[in-house]
Amino acid sequence: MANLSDKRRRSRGLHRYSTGDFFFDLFVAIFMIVVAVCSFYPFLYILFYSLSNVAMINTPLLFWPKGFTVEAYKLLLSDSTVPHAFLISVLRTLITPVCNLFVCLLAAFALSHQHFPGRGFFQKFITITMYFSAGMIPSYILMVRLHLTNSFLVYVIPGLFSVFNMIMIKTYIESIPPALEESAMIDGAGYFKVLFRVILPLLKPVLAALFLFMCVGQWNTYADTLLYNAGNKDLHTLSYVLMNFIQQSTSTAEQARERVGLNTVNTTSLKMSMTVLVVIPIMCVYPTLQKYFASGLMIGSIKG
Amino acid sequence: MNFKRGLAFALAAVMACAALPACSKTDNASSSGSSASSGASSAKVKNDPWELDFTIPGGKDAVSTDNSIGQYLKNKFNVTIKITGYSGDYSSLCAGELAAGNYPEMMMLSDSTVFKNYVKAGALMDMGALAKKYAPNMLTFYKDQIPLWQYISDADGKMYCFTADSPDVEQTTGGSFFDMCVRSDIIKEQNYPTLLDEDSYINLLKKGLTAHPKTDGQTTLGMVQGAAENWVLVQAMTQIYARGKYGEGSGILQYDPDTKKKVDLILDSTNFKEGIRFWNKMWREGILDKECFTDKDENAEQKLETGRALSTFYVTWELPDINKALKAAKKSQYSYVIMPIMLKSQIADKQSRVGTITDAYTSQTIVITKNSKNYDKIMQIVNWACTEEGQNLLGWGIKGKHYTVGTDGLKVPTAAYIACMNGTGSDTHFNDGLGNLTSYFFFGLSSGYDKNGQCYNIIHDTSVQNAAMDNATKDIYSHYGWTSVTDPWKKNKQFSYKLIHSTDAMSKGNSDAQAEENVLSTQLGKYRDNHLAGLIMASSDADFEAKWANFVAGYKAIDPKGIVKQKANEGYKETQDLLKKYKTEGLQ
Repeated sequence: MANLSDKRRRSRGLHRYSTGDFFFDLFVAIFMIVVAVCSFYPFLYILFYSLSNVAMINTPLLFWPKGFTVEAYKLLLSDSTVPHAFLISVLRTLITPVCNLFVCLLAAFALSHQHFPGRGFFQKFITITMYFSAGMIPSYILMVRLHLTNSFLVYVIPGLFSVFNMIMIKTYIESIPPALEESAMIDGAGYFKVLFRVILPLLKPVLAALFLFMCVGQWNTYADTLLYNAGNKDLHTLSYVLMNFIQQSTSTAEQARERVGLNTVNTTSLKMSMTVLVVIPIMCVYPTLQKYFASGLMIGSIKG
Repeated sequence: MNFKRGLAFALAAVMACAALPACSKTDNASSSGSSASSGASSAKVKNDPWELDFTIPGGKDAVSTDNSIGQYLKNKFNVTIKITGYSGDYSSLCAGELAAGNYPEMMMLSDSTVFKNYVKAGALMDMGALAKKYAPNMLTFYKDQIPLWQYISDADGKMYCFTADSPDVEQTTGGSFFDMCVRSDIIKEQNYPTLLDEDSYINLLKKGLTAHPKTDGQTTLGMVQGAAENWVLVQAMTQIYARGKYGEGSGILQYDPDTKKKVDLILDSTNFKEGIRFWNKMWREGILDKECFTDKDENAEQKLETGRALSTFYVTWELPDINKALKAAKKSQYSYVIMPIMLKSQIADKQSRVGTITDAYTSQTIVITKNSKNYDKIMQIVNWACTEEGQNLLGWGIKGKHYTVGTDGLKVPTAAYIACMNGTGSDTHFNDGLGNLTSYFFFGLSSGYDKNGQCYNIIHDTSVQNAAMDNATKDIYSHYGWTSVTDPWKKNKQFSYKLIHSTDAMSKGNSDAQAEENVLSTQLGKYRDNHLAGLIMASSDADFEAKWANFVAGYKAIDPKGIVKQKANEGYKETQDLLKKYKTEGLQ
């Protein structure tokens, strides 16, 4: 290889690694490192700040915790409502995405078939709802009329269907060769069997991605708690409890100083700690779902 | 097959789980404020235990039986009050509840527009009729406020609300003189100089910066402000003008007690300009923090908590926490002290410093809605609240526990109350049930003066504030001959002090947002706000004057005919005439 002339190398699609290539690669590497650091450092800063003694922080940047302390976390977790709120958050984070994906899957499968009667109408009818929203007050009236206020079901039922998720799944189903479904039907499978035994296993990548997005959304949101379940402590979610905690954090930080001699926390460190607490569960879920993003599940699926 | 079974099982499991929390819905969490005896007529069964749900925006979740004040109410009225603290957009929540019809039986409507919508929708009970039937004490105790409540209701003389913390003397008490907050050590080092006008503070801070170029390794800042926040730049920093005869306001039109008219602060007075010029001088001298226009209030507060800022302005309510943080960090020598400020021209003009008594605190408009099943029981509590016994309990707590009464009849807070207030007591919940947004103020707690001259609300009482004065403030004030937190304003040898009432300046505006005067007023406000930073950052006196001239020219061009001022004065006259009419005719 090393003895081939440049012309012959080019004819074979080979390219000699030149000095220009080296500097280009070096530039790209440095650039990407800078982008990675700029992307990741804010989170590190939040983490370091939350673990620092605020009285010792006197620089705008932090590269490690100064005066390591976990008092902000102790203070946040000292609220007696946190464990129950955590349970509610976990429940809604698991239940709502599963139910949503199930409903969207059914709709997507039906709409992916060209011969489905009224397909065009239903598609347009559903898609229009993506662009228009009645607003907060009509939504509130609807939830009241449906008796969903002060109920856990307000976390599930309004989120049962998502047009975006349905379109994503439908598009993915349409990319699957129809021969797969036809071959299953020739073998005697009905629509449900086709959906759950043939199509569903192939949808793992898109379902995993949507499941993750929904989990993140469900975990972080507190607006529905604020609007519909504010008066019921049993239905408060973790993000709502922590958000409330932070809203009152001035007096909370002050009480902390006096109650337990904590003088290492302030409003900002409480907010940072809250951010870390809320992010950690999602960061644990991400690696678990990474493997489902792999492609190549289609190989060998079609007979003949 | 196994996969299908597994999928079916998983789905069944999650649906079952969805059912379980839903089944845990509690009965008393209804947002319509259901009573424990909701099926019975409350008029007949007076002693049955009942519950009241009340939402306080910015408040904390609490149950009344968790504190001694609430227990007293439970023993007396058999009521359990569940308070829900709401941290979101409360006005939107109230609007949604009105639209859905599931508003609670008693609520606080902070937004005047939402309140008027409730009145128009017929969602509120006639408070005047309720007072006549169930709470006659209210008609006597609040006889001065009732015309204001009729005016606020704007319903042909009917009264659909009352306002808690009314009258409110907070603006005339110690921590509410929103003036200069200065690090105490530089005052001591410079031998307690005379501090009042702009130049005195500029000199103080310049010398302070020279003596302390660094504080604990960080560059010392002369003055910090969280001007990235709109309210700091637009509402707080501009209020230097309101340190004389003008009370605080929007900064466009202000009531002039001398002429008894509304004046345009930018065109008819030099006070606003001089206030901005003060900030410009601070900027040019390098005293005002260069990061002030990008700092939020919490950023400025953090700089104060480390002691590296020599001063701030207006945010006096943050000082107790800041000084405690400094004490905890063993930096008590940097404690901040509130000092008075007045413009040179106001001093030369011999203007009095005014303290405004807010006759009707509309941010705490309390209503009883038509969903109420316990309106008679609620009004019984309100009736009791309008007595000395009720005011003392709601405002000062339990006699013997939170306060004692001296031989002169004056209430004195107990050491335990003061210790809890200062954070040095062992029981941090000792004062629960008292204080701003944590008390049962919504039953009609007044923040006015009683017959002995003490405030009904303990947190605004000067004796309590004096007892809570920190050592740095005591030391500094003593050198100026001041012994009370209010002395720098009420007993200052350099100016006189005058009380005014908010009613004197009350003015009816046009509720139509598209009315010409409202549109122009909004434009004037935005124009002013957009030019503030530029004026503050002028590079020299000549540059400031040039920029000010341009600013005024543009300001005049927006409303050349003076429609805003004209309409404001017409509205003012109309309001005053209406208030006189309500005072004369009484409740309809």
